[in-house]
Amino acid sequence: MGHLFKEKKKRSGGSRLSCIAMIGPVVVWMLLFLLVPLLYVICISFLSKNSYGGAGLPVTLQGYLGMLQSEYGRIFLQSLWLSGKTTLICLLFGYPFAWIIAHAPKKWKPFLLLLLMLPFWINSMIRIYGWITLLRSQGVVNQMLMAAGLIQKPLDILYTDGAVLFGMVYDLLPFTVLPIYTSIEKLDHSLVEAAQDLGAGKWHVFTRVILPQTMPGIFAGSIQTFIPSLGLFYISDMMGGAKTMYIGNLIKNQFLSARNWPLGAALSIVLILITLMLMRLYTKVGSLDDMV
Amino acid sequence: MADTVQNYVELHDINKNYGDFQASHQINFGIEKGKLVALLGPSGSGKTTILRMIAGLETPDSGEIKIDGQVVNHIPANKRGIGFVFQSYALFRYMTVYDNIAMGLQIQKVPKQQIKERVTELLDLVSLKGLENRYPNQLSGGQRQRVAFARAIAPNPQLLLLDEPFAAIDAKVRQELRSWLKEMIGKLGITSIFVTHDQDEAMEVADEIILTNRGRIEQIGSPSEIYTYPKTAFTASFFGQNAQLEGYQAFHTFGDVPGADKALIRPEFVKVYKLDEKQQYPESASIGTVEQISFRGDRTELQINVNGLLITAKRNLGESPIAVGEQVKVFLYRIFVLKGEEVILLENEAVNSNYFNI
Ligand SMILES: Nc1ncnc2c1ncn2[C@@H]1O[C@H](COP(=O)(O)OP(=O)(O)O)[C@@H](O)[C@H]1O
Ligand SMILES: [Mg+2]
Repeated sequence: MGHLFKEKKKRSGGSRLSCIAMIGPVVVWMLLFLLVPLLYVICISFLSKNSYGGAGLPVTLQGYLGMLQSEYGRIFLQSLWLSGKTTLICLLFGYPFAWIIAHAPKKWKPFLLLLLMLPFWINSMIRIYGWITLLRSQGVVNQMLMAAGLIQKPLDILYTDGAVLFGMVYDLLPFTVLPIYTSIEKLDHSLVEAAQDLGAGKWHVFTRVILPQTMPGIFAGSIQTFIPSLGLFYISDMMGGAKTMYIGNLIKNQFLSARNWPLGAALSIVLILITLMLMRLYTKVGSLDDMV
Repeated sequence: MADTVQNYVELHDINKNYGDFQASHQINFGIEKGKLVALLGPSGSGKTTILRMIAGLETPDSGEIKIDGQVVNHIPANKRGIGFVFQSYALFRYMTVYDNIAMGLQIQKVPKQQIKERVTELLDLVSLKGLENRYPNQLSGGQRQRVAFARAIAPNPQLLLLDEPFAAIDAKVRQELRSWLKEMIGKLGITSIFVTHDQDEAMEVADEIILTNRGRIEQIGSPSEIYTYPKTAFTASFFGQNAQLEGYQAFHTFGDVPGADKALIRPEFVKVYKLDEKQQYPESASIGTVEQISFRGDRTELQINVNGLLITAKRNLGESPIAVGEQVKVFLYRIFVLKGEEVILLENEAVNSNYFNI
């Protein structure tokens, strides 16, 4: 992988000047909007909380030490658990979903992919509001169920942990489907035939041929779902009624209500580190993709 | 087709269309148990389609496929117990050589120890010992081909199908693999059908050749039979290194076939003499000019212009050399006269008048 990259760089090289001209703006952009805020957050994480609700000197480890409270550890674990569940459910639904799109008639595919991407064009928070109006106790779903006489009083759908999970899955499903779809599209059908000639029925074809070949897609899809799910604070706020605390909410609260910026910043840094570790895994999958 | 011989594989009136395209048309043939048969034909003539229908990877539109006396049309590929070596090998890239070969046995739930013994035996057979933990992309073309072969025969199939088994291998190794495969299949005694577009390969390796052309079978026979006695114009022109002659009547010592004027000449039908060399049938030779000479190692190949017709002839290294531009005497033993789809073998009447031996 690394050596492939070097080769590419050499080829596109041309002159040094044009190289700088090309990546220059990107570098400036990254410095301005990624590195500077990141450094700012790192700085804050090492400062102490001041009486005005901001951060100030002296430099301490207060922020990080504050994280050691058992409550925060629990919140981290809860978040990881929620993200894990979300990813698993996204995989369970996303795989057949991707399979159906990949095996749809050719002229249908662009349309189905468009349907999958369509939600991206509407702000995610607005779509969550949409779900709230559907699911709340006086919402459309409850009213219809009552009108049909299936239930006597409204169901508590909204403001439960289940609702949060549902919202997460709903929001992130396309991120799971797309990489899996790509890997299914790349499936080498002759390997399926080779397995059939060796006596493989449906089960063996799936486990021995299709699953291994789509593993890079499954992996990429999982990570692309898991990482953003860790930071999605507004879904648990809006659909869970902020009853259960997750990392995202916790960080948000440190900055906006609890006014403990160093703690919020320290939590952010830890979250970023977890994410980076996952990203590293992700690039490993990239090289796995070369092999399959 | 006579039912007196018990054929292991039989195809009866097989037709297969892809949309409007007729990939197989009225295919009929039978293959005896233990035989190594070549499906030979130009690219696109429907060889792979036939092979895939036998394997169950493609369903014929009509007709019957029988294996070991049983109609298999409705038996899926995974229940036919046929070994298949794909043109591109189709090795499982994410599995080691060992697992590739073991796959068929693992699916059959053969005990681990037995699998190990069988795979070890096969690795030995295909000379891949020590490479069992490699992945396919760490092997050479020839090694991959042998893994594909070992994988196909691991579950002891009664029938082995090979699609262009040597196409992706460089010329030098190909020659070795040909003899290797012939020997291997002979040793194992598996009834085998292999697809090829290379006439030399088919003639060298196969017991029997089935020649296909545009979705039909042109001729079936042993290599020498099909080479020496082509029954159709296509067969005659497909084999050998033919030169086509318009107006063969210019060579006056051949009988006249009404309605035909094209003929095929193979280099081995031609004998070239220097003007001062002695010759058996002086009255029936024509005079030509040598236009081109190519050195072929063990012999030279001459392009000779005889009254405007270009003829290819061979000359052994031992014979006295001929130069470009030299005038030579050209004698034709025989020619294939083409009349529509028909082919007629004509002997030079000068030969016939002296003795009847060909
Ligand atoms: N799945 C398919 N769909 C449409 N046409 C096909 C398909 N498979 C083969 N063909 C066509 O059928 C013809 C015969 O193909 P094939 O049997 O592969 O020939 P060969 O193996 O002799 O080269 C070719 O013209 C090919 O384009
Ligand atoms: Mg083919």
